[in-house]
Amino acid sequence: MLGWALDIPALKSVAPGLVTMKANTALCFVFIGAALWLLQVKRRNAPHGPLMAALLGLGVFGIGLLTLLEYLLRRDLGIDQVLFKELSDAVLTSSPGRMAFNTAINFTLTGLALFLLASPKKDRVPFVQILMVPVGILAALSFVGYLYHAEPLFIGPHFSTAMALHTAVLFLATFLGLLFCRPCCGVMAQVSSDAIGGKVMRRLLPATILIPLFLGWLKLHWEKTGVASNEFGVSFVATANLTLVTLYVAVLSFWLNKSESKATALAATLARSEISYRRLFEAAKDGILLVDFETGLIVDVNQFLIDLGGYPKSEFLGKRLWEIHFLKEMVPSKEAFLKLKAQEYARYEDLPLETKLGYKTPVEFVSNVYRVDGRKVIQCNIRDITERKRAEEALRKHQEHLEELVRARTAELELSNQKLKTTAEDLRRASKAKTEFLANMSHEFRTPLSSVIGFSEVLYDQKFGPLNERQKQYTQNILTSGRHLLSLINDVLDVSKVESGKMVLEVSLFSVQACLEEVLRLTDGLAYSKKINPLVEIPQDLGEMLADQRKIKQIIYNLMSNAIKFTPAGGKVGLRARKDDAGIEITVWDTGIGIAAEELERVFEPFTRLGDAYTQETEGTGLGLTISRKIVELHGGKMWIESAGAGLGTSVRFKIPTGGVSK
Amino acid sequence: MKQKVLIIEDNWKNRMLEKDLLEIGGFEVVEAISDAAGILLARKEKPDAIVMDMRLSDMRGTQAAERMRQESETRDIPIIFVTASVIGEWMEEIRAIPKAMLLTKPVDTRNFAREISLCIRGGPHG
Repeated sequence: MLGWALDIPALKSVAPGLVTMKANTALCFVFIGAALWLLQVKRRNAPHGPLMAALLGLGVFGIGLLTLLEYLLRRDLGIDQVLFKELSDAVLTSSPGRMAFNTAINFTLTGLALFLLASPKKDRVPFVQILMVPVGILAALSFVGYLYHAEPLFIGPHFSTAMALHTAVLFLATFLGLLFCRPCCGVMAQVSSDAIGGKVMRRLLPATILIPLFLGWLKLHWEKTGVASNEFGVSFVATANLTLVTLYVAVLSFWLNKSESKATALAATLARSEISYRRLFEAAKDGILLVDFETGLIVDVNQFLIDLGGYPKSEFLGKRLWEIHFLKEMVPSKEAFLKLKAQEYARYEDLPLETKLGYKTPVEFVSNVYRVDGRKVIQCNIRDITERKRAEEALRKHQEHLEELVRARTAELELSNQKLKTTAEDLRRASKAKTEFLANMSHEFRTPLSSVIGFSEVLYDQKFGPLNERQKQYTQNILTSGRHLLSLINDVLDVSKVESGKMVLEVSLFSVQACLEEVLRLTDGLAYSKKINPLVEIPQDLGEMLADQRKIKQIIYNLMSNAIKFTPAGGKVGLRARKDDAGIEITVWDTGIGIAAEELERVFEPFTRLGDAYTQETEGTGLGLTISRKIVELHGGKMWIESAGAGLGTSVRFKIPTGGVSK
Repeated sequence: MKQKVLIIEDNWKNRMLEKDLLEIGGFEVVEAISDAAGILLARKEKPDAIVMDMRLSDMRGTQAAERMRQESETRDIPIIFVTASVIGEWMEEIRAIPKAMLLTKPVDTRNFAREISLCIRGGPHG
């Protein structure tokens, strides 16, 4: 167009002496280019692209058709020089500015093709491609003509203008452009396919076109330059073509063989997989239904589902999913099926499936969509969950039972806790009441007892006049009984004080040795009266003890006097003290009446008395050892008794820890 | 001249025993059966010692003692508390009172009079 506008001959024709590309031709090519560009642009970016392309195609078609009419009617319709004038002596031009006859044919076809291509319907594409075949052939004829200088080929019929070289080239480009514009459709689908045919087309076609062209050109070139004779050229080309075709056949058969063996292997694999699938399908413990995605028709059903429902296979096959009463819980209607299709996945946990016999079986329903050979298939799995539900139910019941048990047990525990609390409270109150009662009782007992002891003592001492022997004996009986009762009251009070925690230790640091010596002084008279000389083993380094001095002294005094009392005259009594890291241990031993092994622990129980009841002295209360042990324990210590047996003597030991008292 | 002892005691048997023992011991004895009467009598008689039951019906012994300690006439009279209780809960209160001591019942009839005279002379607790 620029060449025409600016009158530049080099742009109008490729070389001087060659025919020019006419202005209309150039215009048509501009239209074609624009249309192809519009068709390639994404629809989103140019919403009116296809419409514009269709209009451009129509334009091209119009120009081509009108020019054809000019040739056929031998009339000038005045369209050739609308744009630019051409000199009447233009080379190989029948009428100034008029394009070639074959060019006009090509434009008519191309315009029509573009118009069809712009249509949104894909099924028009094969027509486009068919229309383009003559275009390609005509262009190729002219091009080869130019290449081989075969004038009739590019000059064309005598009544026509010749097709320009660049027109031919541009037609070839147009041919390819229109074919590749929609590579997925029609013939081009074969070219662009991944299959073996496409491969052959893509790899061999360019060479198939270029090599013969090149060989022909080479033969002509050699003949013209005299390098080789016509015979040589022909045989060369024949041989070359022979070789080429053989080569093609070899390559092609190699590729085909390879492809076929692959296909065979694939088919075998497929067959195997089909067999395994079939086995799985038939042996599955789930009911399986295969449904065509598009139509909703049941394609296959496995044995399990047939057995589960009690309906024969024929009741399923070829029916639509929603037509089967058996499945009404899952897919009751076409709408439900459409929903299932849309979701592509559906799952129902627990549905009542009604069998032919009217039983309800709980099932789980799962459907998935798979792609098989480019088709979508819906696979529905229907699982009988009767057993699972039963197990779940059993588990749930068991759990409930357990929970019930736990609740009951908790309630029981709470109740007994409450009871315990109440009991503890009651006990605490009772203990407090007991202690208070004992304190009061002790006071109330002691007041009259004070009179009994006091008056009988004064009487016995004859402060208000002499008594006869019998009166004196009686008065003494009153006095000793009164004193015994008093010590009983005092001991009972002590036991209750320890037990109720009211016993308070007055802890101090004191010399153990001094304490033991004082006890020995106090028991000296008693020992003398029984002609017993206590054996004393007290180390010099005993040191001090942290304890309630008065109470410890009382314990040792009680043990010593007991030992002396229960040892016959001439027997032996000993007092021993020992110190180690843990504390100080005091032992009082004797060779007296001893204690049988089974009686050993009993001596610490209240009111236990040793020996024959008739030989007993009245002074003992039977509470001395009980109180002593309790006091030792209050100090964090231990008291125990050892005896080799009855008549073999006894030793009582207690140990007070060095650390002193735990308060 | 005989030393005078005031016995404040509501139990007549106790009072009788204590009075007899003290009279045998050579004391002159005056008696009261309540703390209130005892305080009045102490003011009037100015005894050398007061023997007082710890638990009287009208007042706690230590309260009466504290009141007597506040009056100049009775401030310096030694007080001997007598109690049948062995709980020892009043030990602290008694220690807080000057010139006061505690004897437990039953009284030691053989030493009672001696303990009182020891107390008047300014004994271990006096």
